[in-house]
Amino acid sequence: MKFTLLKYSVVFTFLILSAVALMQVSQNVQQLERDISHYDRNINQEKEKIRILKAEWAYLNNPTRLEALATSGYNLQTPNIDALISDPARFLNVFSPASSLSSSSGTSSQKDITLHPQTLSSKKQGGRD
Amino acid sequence: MWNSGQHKSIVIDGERRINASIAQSRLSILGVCFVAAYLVMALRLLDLGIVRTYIFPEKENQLVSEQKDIAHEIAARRGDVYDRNGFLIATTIKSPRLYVKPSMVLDSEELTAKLATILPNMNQDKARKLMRTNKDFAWLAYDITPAQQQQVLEVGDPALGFRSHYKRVYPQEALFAHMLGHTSRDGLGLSGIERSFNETLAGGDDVTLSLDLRLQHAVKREVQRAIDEFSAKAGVGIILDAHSGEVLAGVSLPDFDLNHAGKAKPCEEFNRMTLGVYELGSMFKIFSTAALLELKKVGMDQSFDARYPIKIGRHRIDDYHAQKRILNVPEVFMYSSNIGAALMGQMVGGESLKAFYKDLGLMDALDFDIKEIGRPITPKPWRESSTMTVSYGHGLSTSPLQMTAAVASIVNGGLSVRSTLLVEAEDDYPIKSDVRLISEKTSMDMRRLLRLVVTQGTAKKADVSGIAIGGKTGTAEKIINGRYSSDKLISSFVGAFPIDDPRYIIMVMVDEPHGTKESYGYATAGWVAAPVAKHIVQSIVSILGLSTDQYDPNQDISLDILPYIHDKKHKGKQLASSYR
Repeated sequence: MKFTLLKYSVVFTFLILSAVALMQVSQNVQQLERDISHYDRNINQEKEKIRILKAEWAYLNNPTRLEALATSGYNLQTPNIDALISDPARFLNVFSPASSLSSSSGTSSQKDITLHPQTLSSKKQGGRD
Repeated sequence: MWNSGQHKSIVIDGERRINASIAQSRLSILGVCFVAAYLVMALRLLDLGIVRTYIFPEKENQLVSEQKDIAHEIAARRGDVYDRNGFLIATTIKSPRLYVKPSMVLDSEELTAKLATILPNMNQDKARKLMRTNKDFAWLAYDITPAQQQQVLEVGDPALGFRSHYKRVYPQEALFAHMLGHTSRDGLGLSGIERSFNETLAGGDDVTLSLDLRLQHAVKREVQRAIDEFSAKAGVGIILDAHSGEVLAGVSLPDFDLNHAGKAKPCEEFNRMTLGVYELGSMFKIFSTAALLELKKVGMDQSFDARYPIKIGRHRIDDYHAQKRILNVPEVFMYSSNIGAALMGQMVGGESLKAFYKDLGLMDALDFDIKEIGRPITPKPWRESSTMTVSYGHGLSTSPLQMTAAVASIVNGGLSVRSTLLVEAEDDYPIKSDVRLISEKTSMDMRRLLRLVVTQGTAKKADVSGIAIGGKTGTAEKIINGRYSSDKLISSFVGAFPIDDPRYIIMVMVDEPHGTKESYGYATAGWVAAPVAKHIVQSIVSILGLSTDQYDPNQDISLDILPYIHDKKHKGKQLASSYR
């Protein structure tokens, strides 16, 4: 009888302990699942916000809008085609004709297009032709 | 008296004994039940925790992933559309829609008043009416901003609620109206790329177009300016890559804001670039001249008698810039002599000319990436007079894009070009087609002739300093009630640059321009369309990275054929007055 009681109490304790542990684990799992879905939702919300921001950015960079801003707000205008040169050495010579850079005219193979400030300002009055 | 060390069991006899034993057996039965229950739980735990996770994991995951797939399919967001440089031109965002449960509304007056302060665009009467119906559910407002949603949530009325829907957004508004197209509210592509690539986009995949936002804008701006300046009805502007056939800019005006496509008028919705077909006039001399040089192997000095108008059938072929003398090939081309071109066509022969036009893709509907394609109107039946009239562009209507692609095939060295709206792999550039239509030599001759038209002829106003551009103007009379109308014109220009080795083809068409004081009343192509091309080229050379200080007038390719032009001074004056 004594032995049976002991046996039962051990089994019972084990059962209680395992039940508690099981409960603990299941609670943890549920919490983690809640966390995951919470994070997922947050991620999706952020992604959605990013999409909206991208669309808004594209809208704000709409060339029609930018052009209107540039002409009305900053008095900018399209550079005249004569203001484009493909030899940067010429561009540099405008500012420092005496400098050593003037000798770099040998780099005329470069095809980069640079704004020519003098031509730009001289054409400013003319506008479109 | 008992001894504590001695164990004495108490034996209960009789009725009590029986009760005790019943209790004991009930207890043990209960115990067994508990043990069994826990055993079941333990087994289930074992099953879930170990067997299903580690031993047979496939079955479970398959089920989950299947469910996910279905969910994904339903919720697939329509793919984005980008221009060739990755600028966003169409996207889909989630947009909340506000609904109301009328049965739960307590005070419709008060609720409507509250909502009206938050949503100024809401129709108040309609909302009030909706709230008083017996329905369980009704939509109150679409396209609500996040801020408005927050405000509505703060009202906290249990009768209100939100559901998000996908909404197609076009940040560039009207800029790509006809090429990109639009969708229905349910996300079905109705026109343009949205329609032809509906399956791809609906599956959630992105599409990158060959169009360049910056070029598109420049073309639209300049064509619009010409429409305004000459009080024209409509216009088209195209920039095509001469080798790959990629459409870099494609504008049809008037256009409409894609975000409010439902409000577009029919004339705005109409795609004049690919769906509209027009008699584009003298531009066809490019093709008849190319056919002559290629098929008849004649020299530039081949002469054509343009002294008298030609009468064939009920047609009378006359020259607008009548020279009334015998002209050679460059002269016919430069003065845009209809008589000369008709004789060229006659020399080539009807069948050959027809076959040549067919190879250029001018006789069939264009094979293109959107579905709004107009079928060319060709002479039926093809008489001898048809051969002569189509040589200068009468009696054959094509879409502007079709014409542009054909010009690309002529000037790019002679290889057939298929126009496309999708970006080609950059590594392979220039993509050379393997279908040769004309020889390198004929192509070079054509480029010389086109350049000559700009330096000496009708397209002088298209000349851009620093860039050698070649081109041909076309002024066609529109057919109104079956007759050519002399005051309703289609003025167009097609050009290529840099003409030495063309990379870009530019096409401008202005529908029904009216002469202005500045153009001395003329509404012809030289006055209307050629300057547009010039302005477009001027504003895009820096974007295209072309150098403008490398052009040497003394090396101009048209100089080789300049000696063929006689009586230059006198003719130049006459041309300047009309630029047809």
